[in-house]
Amino acid sequence: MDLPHQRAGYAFCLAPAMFHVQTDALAAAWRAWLCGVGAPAVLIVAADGEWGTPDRRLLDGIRGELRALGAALVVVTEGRSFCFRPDVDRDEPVPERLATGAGMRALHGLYGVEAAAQVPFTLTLLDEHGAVRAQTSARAEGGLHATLLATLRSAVENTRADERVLFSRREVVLSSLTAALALSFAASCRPHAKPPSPGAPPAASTPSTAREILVTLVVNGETHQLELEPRVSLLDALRERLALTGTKKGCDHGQCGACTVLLDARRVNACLILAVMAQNKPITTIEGLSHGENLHPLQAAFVKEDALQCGYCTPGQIMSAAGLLREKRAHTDDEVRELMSGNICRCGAYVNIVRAIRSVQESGVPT
Amino acid sequence: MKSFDYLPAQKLEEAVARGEPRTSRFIAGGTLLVDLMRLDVERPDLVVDLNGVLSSDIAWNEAGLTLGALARNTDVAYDDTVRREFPVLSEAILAGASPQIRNLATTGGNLLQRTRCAYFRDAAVPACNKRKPGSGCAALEGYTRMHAILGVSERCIAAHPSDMAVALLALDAAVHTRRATGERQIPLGDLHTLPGTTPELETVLEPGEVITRVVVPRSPRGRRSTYLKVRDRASFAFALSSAAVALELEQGTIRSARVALGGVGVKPWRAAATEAALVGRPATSETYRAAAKLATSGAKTTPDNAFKVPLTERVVARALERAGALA
Amino acid sequence: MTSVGQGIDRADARAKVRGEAQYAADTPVAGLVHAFVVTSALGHGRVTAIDASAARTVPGVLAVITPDNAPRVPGATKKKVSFDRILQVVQDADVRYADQPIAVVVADTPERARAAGEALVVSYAPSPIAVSLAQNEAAGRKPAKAGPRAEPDSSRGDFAGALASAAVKVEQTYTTSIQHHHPMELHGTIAVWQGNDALTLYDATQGVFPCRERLAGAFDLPPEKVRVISHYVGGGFGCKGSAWSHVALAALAARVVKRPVKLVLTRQQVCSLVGYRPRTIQHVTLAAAKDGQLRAMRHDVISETSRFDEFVEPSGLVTRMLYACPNVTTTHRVVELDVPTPTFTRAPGEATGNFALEVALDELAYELGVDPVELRLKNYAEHDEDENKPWSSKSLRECYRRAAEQFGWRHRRPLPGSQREQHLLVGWGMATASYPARQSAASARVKRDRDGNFVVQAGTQDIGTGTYTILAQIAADALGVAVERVRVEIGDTALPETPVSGGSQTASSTGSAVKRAAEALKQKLDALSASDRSADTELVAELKTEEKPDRKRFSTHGFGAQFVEVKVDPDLGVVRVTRAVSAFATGKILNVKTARSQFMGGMVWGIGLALLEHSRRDERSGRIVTRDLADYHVPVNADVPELEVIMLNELDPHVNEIGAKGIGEIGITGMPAAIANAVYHATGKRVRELPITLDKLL
Ligand SMILES: Cc1cc2nc3c(=O)[nH]c(=O)nc-3n(C[C@H](O)[C@H](O)[C@H](O)COP(=O)(O)OP(=O)(O)OC[C@H]3O[C@@H](n4cnc5c(N)ncnc54)[C@H](O)[C@@H]3O)c2cc1C
Ligand code: SF4
Ligand code: FES
Ligand code: FES
Repeated sequence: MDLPHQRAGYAFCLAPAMFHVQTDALAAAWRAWLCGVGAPAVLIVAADGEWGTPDRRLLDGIRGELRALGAALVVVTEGRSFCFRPDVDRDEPVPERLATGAGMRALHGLYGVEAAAQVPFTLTLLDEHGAVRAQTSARAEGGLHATLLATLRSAVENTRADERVLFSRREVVLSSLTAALALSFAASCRPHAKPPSPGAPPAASTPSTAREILVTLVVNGETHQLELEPRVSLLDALRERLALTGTKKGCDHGQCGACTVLLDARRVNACLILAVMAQNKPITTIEGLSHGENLHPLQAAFVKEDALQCGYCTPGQIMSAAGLLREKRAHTDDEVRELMSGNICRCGAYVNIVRAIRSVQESGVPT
Repeated sequence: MKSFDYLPAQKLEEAVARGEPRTSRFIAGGTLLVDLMRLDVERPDLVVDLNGVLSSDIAWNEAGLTLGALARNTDVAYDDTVRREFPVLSEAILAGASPQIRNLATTGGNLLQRTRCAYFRDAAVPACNKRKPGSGCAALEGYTRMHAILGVSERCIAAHPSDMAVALLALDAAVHTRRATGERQIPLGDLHTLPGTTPELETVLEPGEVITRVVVPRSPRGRRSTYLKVRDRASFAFALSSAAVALELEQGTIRSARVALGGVGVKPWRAAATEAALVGRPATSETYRAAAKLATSGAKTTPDNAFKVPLTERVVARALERAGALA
Repeated sequence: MTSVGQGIDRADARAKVRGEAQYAADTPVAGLVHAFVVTSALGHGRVTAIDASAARTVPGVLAVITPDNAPRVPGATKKKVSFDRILQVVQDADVRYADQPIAVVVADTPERARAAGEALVVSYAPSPIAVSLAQNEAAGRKPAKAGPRAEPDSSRGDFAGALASAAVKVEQTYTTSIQHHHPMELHGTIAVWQGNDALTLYDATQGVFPCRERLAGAFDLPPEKVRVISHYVGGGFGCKGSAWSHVALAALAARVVKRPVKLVLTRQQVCSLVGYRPRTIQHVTLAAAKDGQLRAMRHDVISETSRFDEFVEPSGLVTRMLYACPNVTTTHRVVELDVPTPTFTRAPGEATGNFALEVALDELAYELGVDPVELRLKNYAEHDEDENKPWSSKSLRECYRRAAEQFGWRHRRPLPGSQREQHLLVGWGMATASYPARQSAASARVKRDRDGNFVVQAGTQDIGTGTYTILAQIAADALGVAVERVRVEIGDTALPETPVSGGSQTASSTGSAVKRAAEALKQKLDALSASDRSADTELVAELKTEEKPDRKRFSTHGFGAQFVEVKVDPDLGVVRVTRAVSAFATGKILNVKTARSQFMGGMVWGIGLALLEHSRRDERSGRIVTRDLADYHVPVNADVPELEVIMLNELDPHVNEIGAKGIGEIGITGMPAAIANAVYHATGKRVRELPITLDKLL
């Protein structure tokens, strides 16, 4: 059965920046039109000066990458809105009735003029059903166009590198775009932040300032560079900066296990780890446990045994169980109970959680 | 959480130097420091990361067992030598925290973890001598089920929460450190200090002094050792009372004994009177029970934690019984 | 094949195991900023000054909102319905309880918002404070109601007279502690204003519509200008049933900074900001004839509430109806203290009241020397003697029989301390479980999509109870299609109006509406000619169901019997539940898989209530001392043994359209008493004060 966020169209509800007032006819028209684009699309809603008149070479470059990706670009600014679809392969106008100031605001979902001063643009990644996959309004100090081009380029590279067959082509494009977007708009577009060259000794002996520092996280095989204050936990970096909200916060003090991820293949509490200290080590979150549409055996067993109710502790339970399976130290029900006791389930699904884990152990399927 | 600078130390001297100011804190596993910073109880300006400068090795040689200060609790607990030579240490670690936390927590950090006194951990409580010297102690007339009964002072009755430290105490371990003036070695029993009139001081370590390793000497008692912990939940809870015991038996007579207590002392607590009452006696239930009665001598209780006296006596007796019965 | 009853996989399980299910605070919103609630260190008095100069220098801070500059929230203290809460949204300087909101800070990152909040320097003027229930028991007053509907006091027959002449008596006092719900999902809200007069909230709530009404009331907006969305809720158990102060504070903050604001409470803050199960003191008197026939029962309940709002833990209600007895008196009193307002907590009243009643019954069984099950059968209520109505259905006898048999109860040796296993004492105890079957008005829409599949739409929410799943099953059967062809959209006030997911009524209320709407759609379809039927037109049926009129003639309750084995270490006092068997008769079981999970969840809660859970308030400051999940012990995996659940499928044509009685809460109701009775059986020690921690057994 489908769930709201998986459905075409309806998913807009989960993207509150857009179509807040769904009753609004303008928003509805936007929604219908965007669904008709029919390909993964990058949607940019920008204040007047922000898009401006881009350099032609940059724009051509952007078009080229879009073709390579099979993705569309929709730019909405006051007066000069257009849409580029690879299958049409030319700029098309956005219908006039949509590309009005009010129409922009309906898309932008903010506060019109006032907010536009603070949030000069939003960049939204939509899938072919018009569902929002990623969104950012981080300022691209390297220039919006150059950053966009770099982003698309790295997405193209990622798609080439990605040989996982389980993904549909569009999923590969979308996930590559998401990753590239997170990377470039969250951090690397800031000109002064240079990533450390690999192999070079870390510049020690100077403490990082209390202000933001560049942090490299390798999450689910993807490298992300973020500018973070040292006090930011790995959990908040995942949830609030990388939009990897599958990892949950239940206590923020190591007391519930909802934030469990694998760090260097070991289960740990992401809330107790400073993101700066998790750099350059492989991190696996619930989002990276399975590939494509297939479920990891633990995920399948949790579904089958109904080892969840509200589901909030579930990502942590599953990641903890994944750690437990690797450790190979739990051989009886009681040992599983003891070694899963760092994960609280307030709904009380414990009996089924133990069953699910035991069933995976007994099935002997590789995990 | 207050903002702070972060320094991943590259050299031990650097760590010692940068860790010296009162506003600096070391971080190893981070499971305590991040917890307390988030509660606004720890407010350092600089956090010095020790992960680049200390060892995480676990080694067994003539001297005994050497644990690098960064050896993770999980790795120590499941180490084959540790399980064989010092079961009490493995059991104590596994009776503490959760698998996730044990994967992060380090040997050095575990010894230096701070009390779970709820008034200490609630930064909005004005009176806590440990947090704010001279401010008073909210616990004295507060809710004290989790508080200490041994070594308490008028100024502070907070319990030391570590399980591992209790086992290490029963194993005569010593802490090796590095400070500006050089290295030194501190018997575990001397590492933690009594609250007295200065509960804010918890160890003899000087500012900037780093624990580099912990050494557990070979011992005739090591293999006959065990840890018993009583807590409210079946797992994932701090001790109400716990005992680490190690015995040396010779033809049914106790030649030597170590008994250390957790959950009841302001620091990992050596039950010297119990030990004395064991040595030279037959290894029988009567001996154990009689000796256990002495474990809490000198206890000062509150209505909330008075139960810890009979409980601890029984915990010690049971632990002795168990150690005595080991093959 | 019918779908209802089948144990099909939870519809939302896949999204949840993949981490894709977005709970309120997971919702991606562009331009989001973060708010942190600053709460009072003081327990009672006034804030005399807030110095925000340091806070304002924290980089990224957008606003520091205090009573001095906060926009007015005109409806903060106006209640429309009993479960509306009086909100503390920084409108004045009064401090009514410890950890009350006194300011809100907004910044660009969550770390900065919190650090700035911590940097506020607050001065207070304290007033005398009273938070002890025991010391203030005498100050109890009669509340308006006990629970949403019931009268606080009841009396039938002549209690005093019957007591005087009875052969055997038990007269005891039982107490229960503060219990916090602590759902794993922290309360969180994302508030987005569209201009000044339209508000969208992504909120962790058990009731999108009640939340909408409350927020519209607070901000003086027409309800249709407020939209509340809650697609997934990470557990509620009652504390997400009302909109609490933080929801309004999120909206307030968003209005001030004119940007979308995310506000997530900390685990420590949920101890004071979203209600709790209040402490109770319960005096119970039972009197019986020699043959065990109950002659008189009295149950006097005292519970705590705040000074500005009323919540009553209706613990005495169960005593009115559970057994046959001609002379019964019950009373409820509340004591106003300087504490936050308590609220509904999984089986409010039943969980605590049934503990007192069912332990007292066990005591009576020992006094009489009869088997506890026998005693209950002897006093079996053939009809509801309180309401004087027949039961819509009741299969409690069968529950006793099935559970006892499965448990092996007949092997029990009644003498306390007579069952041992090595050095452990083994105790067996049992208790009756019960919970009312409720129904409220609800609406639903069922559509046939252009692709020929069906969509169920209702505002209701899935708090882990399986709403997504059972609504699809109900609709599929009514439409006569496979359940795979039905998808369910819920958790949004843009959808048809439904009640709060509380009181175990979602299946009965919203389920009934869905059933009727699906039937209506089916009729429309059937009326179409074959060619029209296949046409790709959208077809819709929407309707509202009220409480089934038939119900009024009956008393509607689910019943169960719960049997527990504990092992007690006689030296150390450590109690562990090692086995539990429960049988429940709660009408039709809609999905055996998700239903079993719900029953088991209730049983785990019962273990917590009986043995572990205990929020302790410092009596001088009013602050909760057990403020996190290390100090407040909810059961962990190792505390929970294999749990056996027997579900009797009961045919109940009267209770509602779908014949299901509600299963979310009954599982907890018998467990505390069953465990306490088992502990007595093991040790001979009668503990009348929850939780039964080891110190009480040493
Ligand atoms: C929810 C929870 C439950 C827990 N339950 C238990 C339990 O049941 N039993 C138990 O024993 N423990 C328990 N713990 C505590 C846990 O064991 C400690 O947090 C952990 O051992 C600390 O180690 P760390 O390396 O993470 O310390 P850190 O947080 O890195 O450091 C702790 C302290 O030691 C200092 N420090 C660290 N390493 C050194 C060094 N080499 N030299 C000098 N100073 C150093 C730091 O400055 C800091 O002050 C629990 C913790 C949590 C969060
Ligand atoms: S017992 Fe110690 S730590 Fe606790 S409040 Fe008193 S002084 Fe502070
Ligand atoms: S959020 Fe990390 S353990 Fe609870
Ligand atoms: S499923 Fe709700 S907390 Fe575990």
